[in-house]
Amino acid sequence: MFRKNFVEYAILLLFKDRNDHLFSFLIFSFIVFILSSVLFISDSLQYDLIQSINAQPSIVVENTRAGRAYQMHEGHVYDASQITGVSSVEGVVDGYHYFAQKRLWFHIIGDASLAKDEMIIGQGVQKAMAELYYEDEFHFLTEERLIKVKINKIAPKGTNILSNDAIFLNPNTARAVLGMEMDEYSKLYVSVPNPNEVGNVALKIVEIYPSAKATTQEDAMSAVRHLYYYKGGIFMILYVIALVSFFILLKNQISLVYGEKKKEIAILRSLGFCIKDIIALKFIQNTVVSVSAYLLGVALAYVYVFVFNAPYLRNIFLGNELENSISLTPVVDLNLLFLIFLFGVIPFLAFVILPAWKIAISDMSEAVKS
Amino acid sequence: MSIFLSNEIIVFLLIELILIVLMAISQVNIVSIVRHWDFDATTPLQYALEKKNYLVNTILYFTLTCKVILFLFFIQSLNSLAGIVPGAMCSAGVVGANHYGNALLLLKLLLIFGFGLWLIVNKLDLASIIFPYLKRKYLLFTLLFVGVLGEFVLEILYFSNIPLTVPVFCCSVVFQAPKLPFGYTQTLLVLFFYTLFGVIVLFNTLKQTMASFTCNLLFLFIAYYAITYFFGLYVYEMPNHKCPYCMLQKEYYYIGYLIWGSLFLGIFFGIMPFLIERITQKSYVYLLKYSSICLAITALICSIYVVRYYLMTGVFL
Repeated sequence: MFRKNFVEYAILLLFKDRNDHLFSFLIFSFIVFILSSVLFISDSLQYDLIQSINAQPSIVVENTRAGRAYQMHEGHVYDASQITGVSSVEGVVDGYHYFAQKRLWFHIIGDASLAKDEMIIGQGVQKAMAELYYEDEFHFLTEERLIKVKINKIAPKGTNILSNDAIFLNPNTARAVLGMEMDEYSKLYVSVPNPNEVGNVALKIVEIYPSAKATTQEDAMSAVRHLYYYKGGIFMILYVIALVSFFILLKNQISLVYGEKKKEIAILRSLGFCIKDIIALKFIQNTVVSVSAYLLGVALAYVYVFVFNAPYLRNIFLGNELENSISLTPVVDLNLLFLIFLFGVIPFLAFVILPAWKIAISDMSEAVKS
Repeated sequence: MSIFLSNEIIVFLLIELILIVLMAISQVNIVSIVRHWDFDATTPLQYALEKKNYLVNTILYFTLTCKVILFLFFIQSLNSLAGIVPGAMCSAGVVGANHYGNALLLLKLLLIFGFGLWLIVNKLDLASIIFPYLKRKYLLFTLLFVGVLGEFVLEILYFSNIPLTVPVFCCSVVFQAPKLPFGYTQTLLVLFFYTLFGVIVLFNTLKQTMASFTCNLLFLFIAYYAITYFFGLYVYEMPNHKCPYCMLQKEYYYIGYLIWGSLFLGIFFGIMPFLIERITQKSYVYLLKYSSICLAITALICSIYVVRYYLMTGVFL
């Protein structure tokens, strides 16, 4: 059935009739392009988030009161460090500062290596500040006073999605900005060297402080995955509807085109092609169309997402409250490509079977006569 | 949060649904073919039916190809679900998340075997001029269609019952040693594995289809347990890591696909000749040779891991 000459002939015939297939080719590559762009973006963001979680300590402990985040103090640090299996506990200052002029939230992170009056800011923060002419210095407005801090350095235009809206400050300055007392912490970073003990240590911390929330690395990762499954899933369901309507259109279009080609098929049949061969012929042609459209779509999506950084589309995932200047890390997962392939090419071919069969069995004597 | 929002599951269910629609179309045609088929008649109806036969064939070729691809995709989706199902480290936790999982996997495997059987019978049927096995072949198709419908229902049940808030067990809990069935020990299991393998090869060379059929079915279960509880340990190089799925992952160079793939192929070739003989009264024993080859590959890979471990460390696990 799949002799070399036969395949060659099928492809030659396809090029002769390329205008008939142009419609399905273009629309299908567009559909694949949209789908793969969205999946590439979400995969790349997920990858970045998970990389940054990997760099974090094993357990992050947060205190809550009445369901809201609440400060922690040295006592918490001491108690946590007494649990067997814990190698070190670090209290960190972390919170959000509202920048009212631009209606933005800056993520304040304490960094002990900085002096009291200097800070490192992310790309997005720099842009927002520069618009209001804060170029060397920034003034944090708090309830009590105005805090002046030198802008020391701008975080490199890294891939890290987290540093875009971040401001790194000396912990004490950060406390002043966030309105916290000295010796208060917003989170504890607990390091547990043995990964098998992480779950147990987290349970023990919650046992000591029932109102505390201990998030292990694994929990944090699954939270990220949940979020992206949710966003990607909603998109996917809408997409299925578009896809199905495209395939119904495709089926009608192919039947129409094949209907005009009845004479050609009848000549082939009278030359000795059997029904099976005609179906195979049409199948080979459509495989070529769909696979090449798939490749084109994926390649375009790659360029759009990782070279041009996916303008417009990435706001679905990032939001545009803070001008996002992050660049997407090019990660392409083979599993993802396989998924897109299955999603596009298999239904495409499935919807071609019926028209191909119908044209193959049509009455040839009548077709030649007309 | 619903599991049906996961990309893999949406894609998987959509394609399953399309295949079911295609199979339903052929099923409708099959009913009319079986009712009115008369090979000696020269009526237009008979010609139309013969043309319909082509449609059914094309659809089935397509479905089988897709089913095999989907089976691999299913395994891979389970792996990726392990990321969002709490507590699951690999597919074992996801499959064992409810009691539909294992039944679904077994049904999928049997259906692929069934499709393979149908293809071979179809080939024999088309090779002869008078379509001698047409009705039997379509009866088989109807059974397969019912199977596929059942599979779809089971899939929906399975996916909708995966808990996303309560932790499931990971593979080291699911496959704990004291839970070995029928009171096997590991040594006994390995002994069974090699004995049965030898017996199958013997029957295959003697072309005893019925004996080969029985032994192969038995071997499916023995090999499953032997690989999970004994050979797997050497693949993972850990004394308490018992899991049939982890070896499908990148960390173990995807060796699982080779081990399980050759095992299932071997068993498929081993059970087919007997079934074909039953259906068509024709001997089709040359497949038994492939059965021996495939099973030998499985046994060889498994043994290599054990030997390699012994050479490296000087002890057995």
